[in-house]
Amino acid sequence: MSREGAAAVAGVAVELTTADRTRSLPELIFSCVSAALADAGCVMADVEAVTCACEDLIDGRGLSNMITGPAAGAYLRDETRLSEDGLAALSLAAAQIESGTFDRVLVAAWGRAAEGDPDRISAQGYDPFTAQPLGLGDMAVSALRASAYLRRHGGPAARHRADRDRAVAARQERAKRNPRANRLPGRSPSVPYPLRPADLRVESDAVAAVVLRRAAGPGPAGLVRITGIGHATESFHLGDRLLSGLPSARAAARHALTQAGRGLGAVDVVEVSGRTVWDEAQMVESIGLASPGEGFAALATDARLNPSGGSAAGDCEPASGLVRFAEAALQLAGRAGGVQLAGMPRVALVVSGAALAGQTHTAVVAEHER
Amino acid sequence: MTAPASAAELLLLPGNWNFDYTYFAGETASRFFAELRDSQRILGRRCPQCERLVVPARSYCDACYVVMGDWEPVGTAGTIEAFTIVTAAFPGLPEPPLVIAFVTLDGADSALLNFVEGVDLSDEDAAGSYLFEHDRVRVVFSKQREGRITDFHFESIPG
Amino acid sequence: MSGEPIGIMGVGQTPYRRSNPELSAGELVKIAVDQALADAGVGMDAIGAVFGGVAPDALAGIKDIDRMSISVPGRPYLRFNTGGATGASVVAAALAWIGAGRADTVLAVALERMGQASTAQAVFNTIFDPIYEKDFVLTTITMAALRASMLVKRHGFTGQHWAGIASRNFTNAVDNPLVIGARARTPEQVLASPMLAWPIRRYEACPTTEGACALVISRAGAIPRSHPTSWIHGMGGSSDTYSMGERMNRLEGTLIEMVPLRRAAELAYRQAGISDPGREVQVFEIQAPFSIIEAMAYPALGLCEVAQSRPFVDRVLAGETGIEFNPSGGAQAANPVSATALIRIAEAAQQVRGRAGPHQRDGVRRAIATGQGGATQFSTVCVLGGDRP
Repeated sequence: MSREGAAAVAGVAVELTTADRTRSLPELIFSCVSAALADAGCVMADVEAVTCACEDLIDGRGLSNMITGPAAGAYLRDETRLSEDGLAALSLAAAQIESGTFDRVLVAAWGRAAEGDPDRISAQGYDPFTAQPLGLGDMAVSALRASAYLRRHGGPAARHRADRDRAVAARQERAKRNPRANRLPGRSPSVPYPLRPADLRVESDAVAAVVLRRAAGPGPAGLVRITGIGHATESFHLGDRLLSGLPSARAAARHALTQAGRGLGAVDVVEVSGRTVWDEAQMVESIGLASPGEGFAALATDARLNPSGGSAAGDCEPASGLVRFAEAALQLAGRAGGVQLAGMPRVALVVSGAALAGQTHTAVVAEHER
Repeated sequence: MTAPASAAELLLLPGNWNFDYTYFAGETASRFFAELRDSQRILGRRCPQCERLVVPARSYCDACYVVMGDWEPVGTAGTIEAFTIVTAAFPGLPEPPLVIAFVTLDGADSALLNFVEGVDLSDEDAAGSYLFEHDRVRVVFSKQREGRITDFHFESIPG
Repeated sequence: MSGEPIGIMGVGQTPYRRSNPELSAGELVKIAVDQALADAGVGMDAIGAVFGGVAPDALAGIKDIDRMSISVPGRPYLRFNTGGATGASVVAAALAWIGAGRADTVLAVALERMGQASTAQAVFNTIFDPIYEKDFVLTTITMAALRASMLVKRHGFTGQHWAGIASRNFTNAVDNPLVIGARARTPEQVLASPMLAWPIRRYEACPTTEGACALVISRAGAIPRSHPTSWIHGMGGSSDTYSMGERMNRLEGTLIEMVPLRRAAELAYRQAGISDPGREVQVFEIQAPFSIIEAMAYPALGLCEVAQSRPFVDRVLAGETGIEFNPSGGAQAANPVSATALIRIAEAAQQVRGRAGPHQRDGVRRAIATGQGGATQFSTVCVLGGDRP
């Protein structure tokens, strides 16, 4: 991908709230997308296409983007809607720009947890014959993975408890400093062993929007370019992949870094999705940012990892990956506020998993021109 | 190699989706419905840019992508833009036959959907002709109102 | 279109029927995919990405049914959902993916499994706005009927016109071996069928249909010179706002002028260098689950002026236009919702490649496929041609 053809970030916005009765879902989307346009210094008339990610069942609307798409600007405008994680929509939008199809694309993703029950909804994606009868949903899968992790790294012993507690505390502390974090607690679902309530994400009404544009030629100081993208897919069948870590996260990240011509050592900020702190720890290990068994310790002590607080700052699928990307982009631009990393971060890696507890993963490398 | 399952053995698993949702209507829609119930008024909002008065009231203009401006009531009579006579039973609708129509109420720049009463539906084609010839309706509010779109309906104005 | 030409080199379709109780979703997909790969003369190893199209999850009753049936481990995978236009969105995205150099070849797959839904209409009822329309149930059929009344009032269309279009589609379907149970119907038979919502009659509404369709799409450099290919000359898309009430009489055009379809056509025609579609295009596969959608599409596609809509339909029904419409039978004969838009592109591609079988038309150098989703919101136009651009 040539530098000239690459997609660059013109503006971002994130809104994480809980049950704001003054606004309908389309109004939440309108608000966040308007903020992204303002951040980009443009208006909707400048946008040629809307590429968005949303889920019908999360939105409680049989064909959600009939009603939510126009809220994101799909008014007499090209629109592509993915039932995917928001980072996948960003990837496609970058391809739309790189291919010369469009010069400016609005990417948006949303999930309003307060209108429904995301975990119950997630259960409908699993195999109706072999998994649904056992009550399997995304939360249960996180718990199964957590128990597998404990088994692999020494059982329910105290060793990891200390690291885990530190990682949980670190996430919460960062979320407190994050100006974009969700301030209101959401629902407290019942939590399957070995998960504990503090391990979970803060379930939110989440909307994220990014304005991407063509970055022809060397840009002005402050331009954030997308320099590498990776996608990977695992088997649908949980039994084939449950205990193997997150190989598609690893493959996607590797592909994105290779394309960007960067090694892990060059990465200054990392944002990964994860429903719980366990998932974030396993993500970090799969990508190679921590040795096996050291994921919690890394989350607690490596300031590069999820400086936003990750899903402790607020999260709802399928917005997750786009929220993580927006946070990373703000870090690169030096505009992350209370969670800004010192030392002018230049290279960011964002990795996010999609439905069915991450059967697919998308990875994006973005860099700040300095 | 085992023989394939016979048709009698093909497994069919019954399933039923039953999700509960709570839809946040937001301030604008909430006020629109409250006005129906409490004041028997149909309110729209005017876009500060294109100046369209849109009903039901919405909080932003899709076309201009800006926040809507002032609230204004629309007239209590209007013109049918499109209608249909529903003759088959559909889940969620009252017993057929019934007429639904988009009506542009006087002063509004968008049309509103509701039932139309006061039309003889014993002969569909005659009813269709009638509705093409008599396209004016008036708004009639129900005595019992709940803050729902069905708090009012349209009545055909004959002659 | 700039950049290296991109073409469709393989097509696979399952038969389209009400339900397939003896097949799992993955098995249904595999039939179409195996056929497309064989037609393209490539194996899965040549595929750089798999794009899946499945519209409302509720029709199949399995969330993300595509993940179990379409996604391929080891290949990038994306799932698209733009309602009835889903299949076209998949193709448009494949063009961007290949154009961006991310893959030489993309496998585009769409699956409809609505045979599992006992209450498809109730599912369709959940697509409407729950806030403003919670107590007022619109349906896809009443939505179409509302437009029909405007067409009658403004253009003088009659039931004969709707019946004539439907009759032609059903009769064409008899020559499409993939439409299981296809039966020719005369206009009189259509007019005699029960009324659903005036003036839409039962025989104008499409049947519940399941099926899968797959395309192998490649950049020119990955296609052998002599391989029968349908080249993509143009691809345009435009989506519209939801509220029909706000689209009645706006500046851009009335509700019955299908403004986004017109815009999508203009984009695609410009890319393809088409200025007179009625003369330059031999076949139109129009995604129209109801006759009235097809009638509105003709002027939107630039085949006639809006004011001449009815006389043009008269000419179409008399066979005087020289254009072939829906040789496959179109969406009225078989409408597997998630796949319909991809099937229109597949059928148009087969016409151009000379591989449409019993319903092949003569001398097809260019064909157009349209896609339609939501409340005539997501609109796409794809121009296919036999000549490499």
